[in-house]
Amino acid sequence: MSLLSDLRAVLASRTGLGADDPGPRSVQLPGGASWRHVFGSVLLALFVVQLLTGLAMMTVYSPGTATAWASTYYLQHVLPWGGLVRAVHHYASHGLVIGLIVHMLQVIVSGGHRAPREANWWVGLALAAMVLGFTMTGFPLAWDQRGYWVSRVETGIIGTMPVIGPIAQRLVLGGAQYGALTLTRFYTLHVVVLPLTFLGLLGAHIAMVRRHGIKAAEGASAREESWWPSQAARDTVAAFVAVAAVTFFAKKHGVWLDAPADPQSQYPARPEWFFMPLSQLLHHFQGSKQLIGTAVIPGILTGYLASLPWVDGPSRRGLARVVALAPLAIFGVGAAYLGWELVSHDAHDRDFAKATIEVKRNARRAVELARMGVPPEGPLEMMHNDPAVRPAALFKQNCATCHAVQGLSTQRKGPRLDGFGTREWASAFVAWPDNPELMGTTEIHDMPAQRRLSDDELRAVSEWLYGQSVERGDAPANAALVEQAVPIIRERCNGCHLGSLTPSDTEGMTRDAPSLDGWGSREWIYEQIVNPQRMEQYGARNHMPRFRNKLSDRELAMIVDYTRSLRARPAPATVRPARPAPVAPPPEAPAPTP
Amino acid sequence: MSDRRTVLKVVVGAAGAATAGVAAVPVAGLVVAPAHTPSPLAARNGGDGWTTVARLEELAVGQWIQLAVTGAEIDAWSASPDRRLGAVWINRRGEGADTLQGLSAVCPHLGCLIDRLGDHFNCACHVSSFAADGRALEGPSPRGMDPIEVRVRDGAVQVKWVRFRLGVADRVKEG
Repeated sequence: MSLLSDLRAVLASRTGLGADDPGPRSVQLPGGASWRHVFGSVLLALFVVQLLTGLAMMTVYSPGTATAWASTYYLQHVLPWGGLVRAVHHYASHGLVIGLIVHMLQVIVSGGHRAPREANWWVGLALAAMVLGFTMTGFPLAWDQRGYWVSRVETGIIGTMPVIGPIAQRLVLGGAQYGALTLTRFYTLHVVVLPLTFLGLLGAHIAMVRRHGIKAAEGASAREESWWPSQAARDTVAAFVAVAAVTFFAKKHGVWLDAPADPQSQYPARPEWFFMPLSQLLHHFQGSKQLIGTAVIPGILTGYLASLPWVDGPSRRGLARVVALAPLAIFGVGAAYLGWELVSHDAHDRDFAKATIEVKRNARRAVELARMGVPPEGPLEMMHNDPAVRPAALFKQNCATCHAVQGLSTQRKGPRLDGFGTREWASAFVAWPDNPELMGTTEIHDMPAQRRLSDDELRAVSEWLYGQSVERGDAPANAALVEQAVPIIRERCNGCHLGSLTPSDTEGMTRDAPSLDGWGSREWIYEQIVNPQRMEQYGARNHMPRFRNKLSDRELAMIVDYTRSLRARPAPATVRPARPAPVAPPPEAPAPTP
Repeated sequence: MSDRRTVLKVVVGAAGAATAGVAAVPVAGLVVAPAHTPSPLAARNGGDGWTTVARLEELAVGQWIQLAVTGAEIDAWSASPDRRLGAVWINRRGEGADTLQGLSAVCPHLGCLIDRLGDHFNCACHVSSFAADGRALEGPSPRGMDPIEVRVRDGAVQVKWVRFRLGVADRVKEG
């Protein structure tokens, strides 16, 4: 014991620590210890949690457009504890916002903003603004879709501010575009500039609390009590509850890592709940009125809070006080209403629901792909070359603009490709080549409906055509049916269609119907895509655009594969045309092949 | 009164310790995690370990030549298909395909690249010198140059690239 006191004495004499300053222990609390006074300590505890979790994440995170998402993925999905630490950091930021609101309301109710504490009220407001700054600069750091797009919206708003907007925006972005420098600037702000400034202001905040003391609530008892240990016990218990609650939430719900940021994508950006009211203001004030939502209303709120020491001055009591604080209630109710409006609107918006499903699917796929390694070019490259997603995107972009495919496109300029290459598709086509359900508004109408084919013959011809498309891995065509089809094809088809079955004595005849050899095979599809006008197929009358030199070989191969994958989808039903063949709606009584 | 104060002090200590524990355990867990968590990609580091460094006809008989070893590099989250992994010294001692000798160009001392100086090898960092066959001659290197397996397949000179632990006398492969 004497050794300890000796050490203390030495420490005090050499460093001054613990010498004259009695520390916070002796601070007297008017009105005594109270749970009302714990919120400052709770905020402090949460801030320390943010410092610790933030530092831990910095040992993994790598800022940079090619590495930010990948390192966050590694943090969250590979390293033990990483997912929990990231989630704690996330929910602690929400805890800070909630704690701030409660702390501010507590201070306002007890009059802690009034003279002589105005300066500390303003420091508190600055700290609150900085917490929002932390969330804004931290959100895009993972460089995932949500963080990226929310942050783009926010920095876009900065650019629309009067006078200083464009310059401020360029400063924030690090130039004209939202990109690599924006990320490094946000990172610097988030991990160095804001924390240091925050710590400085926090020191001033606490020093001023000690100078002026805690403001007792109105009507509190006159007794005084020292901070230690009554209030200290309440403070630590409250801090524990807050930190434990945040950790529990983090463990239970985790935090979402969205797909990598893609500047070329459409994304239904929604901010965190505490920015939702501002986001919804954009919806109410559009066009020339936008500034009302982005600058005027937030400006009024800020001005009101800053001038609260006078608006709600020490002399105000009773009804006058209610009037002075009424705007606070109006802002609160208004914010809650706006937030609810956005949430309930989204809840009833089917497009938003669909987009959300797409978002989740992309995010899960990104993680699956990242498990196989992120290329040095970055995660976007990884997504673009995803063997499972890229072909569909290419098909959608290049083919679905004309071709109908269930669930992907309702265009009718080209043939429907569901089940293309299957017996069912072949059967539906041969039975009625102008079937609008199948061929849409295609302009070649030379082939007549094969009315004279019996159902059995149609089945055989369809099997033969299917046989042309069979490749490794496909079920083989029924040999007996194919055999049966050969004479029919020779007699009924080769009059127009060239192909290996064409009798040799017709050589030299010019026919412009497509060759049936290899119909529906990869090679056939490839040739059709790169040169739809070639003579072996439809010739110059075909309106389909040529894709040679428009797409790379790799992209073409992906589209061919995707088109082949459509074989798994059901083809339109076989319908015999009514006589005379109608141009539009299909007849109601279909005669399906057996 | 003093009983109450004692209880309150215990509460402060217990709640404070619990808070610190809840906050610090995940943080400490994450900070040490990379030290004991190999990249899951490393297990998948495919192939049989042989990489081609040259064509046999490019190698002159009786001469040492330094060749770059390239291959897939796994580094935490990133997988690069062809990165420079290191360098080997290869000596073609005769005409046959089985006369190739390979030595890692990584100095066993502290990992600088070993160069050729006259008729022997030399590491410029701390002036370790090695004989023509890789034996340590002078300087701080604790062992001779590390041998690397070489083979020829269809005229391609292939090496099995390995890194060895640095600074120790025993030759131990690095995971």
